[in-house]
Amino acid sequence: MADKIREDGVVSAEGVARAGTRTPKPQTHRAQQKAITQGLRKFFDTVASEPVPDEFMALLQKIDGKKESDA
Amino acid sequence: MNRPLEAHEHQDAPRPMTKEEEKTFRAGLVEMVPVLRAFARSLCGKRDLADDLAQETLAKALQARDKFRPGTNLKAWLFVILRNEFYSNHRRAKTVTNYAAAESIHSDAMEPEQHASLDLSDLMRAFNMLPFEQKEALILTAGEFSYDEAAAICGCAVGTIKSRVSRARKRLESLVEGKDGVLPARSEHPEDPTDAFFKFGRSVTEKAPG
Repeated sequence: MADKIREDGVVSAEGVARAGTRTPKPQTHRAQQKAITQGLRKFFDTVASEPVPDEFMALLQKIDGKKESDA
Repeated sequence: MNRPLEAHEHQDAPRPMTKEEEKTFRAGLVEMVPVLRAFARSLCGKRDLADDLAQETLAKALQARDKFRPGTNLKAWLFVILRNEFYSNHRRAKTVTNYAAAESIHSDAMEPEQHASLDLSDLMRAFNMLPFEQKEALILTAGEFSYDEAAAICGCAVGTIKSRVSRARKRLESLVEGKDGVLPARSEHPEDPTDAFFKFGRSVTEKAPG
């Protein structure tokens, strides 16, 4: 398992192993839950802020009610 | 005006839109393209599959526009279509597939970012190990929708959404802390980043249904 652990990782698996199965403090748990929500939101927003790819153009023109020749 | 979508809503006697309503509807579709792409990417991970799904959703929505009730929540209506498309394609494929988040996970934009003690790349690799039902519950409630709206979109009870979110968060937390299996390895330049994930993620996903 050791080789799967990233050296640059913020989560130290060894540290977790040493800590055994201790339950995290409530405030640590809350912070982690908040970080998960923020991280997912960041992922969603990152994709949503990408430029719309060219392959959508024909469809978008159809939605706009324009014919190809009008474009 | 943007009240939650009721499950039965778009089945009620549809009427053709007025010209003005149709114009607003079409403009709304264009405006929703980015979030549809993001929702699709969350569900199926791979960029090309997700963009196909988003385009199918837009085409379906345009065809079915008379079933949309002007004044209701267009985004929720579109997300229902998207997930229906996703699940019906998924059923057609008759296979349990689970894709790594491909370029999105490994993109430069995501790589250096950290939130609290959480590495986003780790988070998204863990996210992709979750069952689809948990992924959609998490993503929908991470900012776009209330629990009530997410339940309407997924056609289930609010309590079900809450329980999926709770289980998913717990699982993500365990995964990123290394307490619940090992995350699929990062690839520097993934030719097919789904590969490593698929081998690992499938067995995990099968063991932990929604």
